[in-house]
Amino acid sequence: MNVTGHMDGISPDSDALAEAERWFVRLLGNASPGEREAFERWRRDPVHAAAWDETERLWQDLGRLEGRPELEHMAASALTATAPRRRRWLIPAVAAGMVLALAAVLLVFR
Amino acid sequence: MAGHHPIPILEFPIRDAAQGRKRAETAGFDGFLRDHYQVLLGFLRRRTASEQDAEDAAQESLARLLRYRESQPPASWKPLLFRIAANVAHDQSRRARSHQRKAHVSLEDCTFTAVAVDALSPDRKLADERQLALVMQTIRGLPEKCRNVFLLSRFHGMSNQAIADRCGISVRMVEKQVTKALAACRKTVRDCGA
Repeated sequence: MNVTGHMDGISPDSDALAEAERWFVRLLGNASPGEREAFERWRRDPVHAAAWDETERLWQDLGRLEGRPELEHMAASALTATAPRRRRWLIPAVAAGMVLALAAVLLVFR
Repeated sequence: MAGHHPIPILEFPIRDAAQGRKRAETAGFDGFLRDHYQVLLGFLRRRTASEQDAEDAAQESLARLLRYRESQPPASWKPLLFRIAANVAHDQSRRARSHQRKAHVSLEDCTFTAVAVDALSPDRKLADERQLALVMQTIRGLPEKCRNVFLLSRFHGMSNQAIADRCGISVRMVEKQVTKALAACRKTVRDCGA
């Protein structure tokens, strides 16, 4: 399988791909007009444009993993692992800390 | 009575509506669509060959976004919409290129077997089972934090900001992790494809 930008006869090197990936992820968020402009400038280079296309394709193709049990399992785990569950630890932790601090104060001033 | 808000609950819809003129109708999903249509069109113009293509892609993107209306919070509609739009525009251009080369074979015909995809659409990465399995393995092998952030981004459609808030890390860190995961996937695809 040819994955090296044969379409335009350009094969983006891994540096260009790494840059494309940074741009791609950056632009998933709210990019400022200045950033968009910088991105358009960057993409005017044909090698960069080829790297960008390849990155977009990859992102798109990753969608083919959707629906596979293993992926769905990992994706569900990502949700639970990052859910506020962790913060639920925070309250008991802070409470315990405060109790300890209070105990320390009581000990000192006994 | 200073600082008294008679109906504080209505503040949000009304503020949204200010952009879209028709106050009563613009709240919610319809309002969202109206408010973002022009921006979406501009976004797609840069990624499509013609005005007609941009409009088609915009319609298609909005139609696809409808599916997420119930399951996703309004805050995630915008990043989701633009992600969908990028995919739609990409599909469109790929279809156009594939038609140029093999005018008599539609893309849909190609996707049934990996062999056909290889022969007719060599740019179709991840086209076969082996590659998919390897990419899956790559994702599984990522450090946990990197993997979770990446999965939230790509498969839960969460914005970088939403992930940052959820995981208690900076947006820059989210970007870094997603980029890292993407690079790992790209290396896998390149290594097994070259």
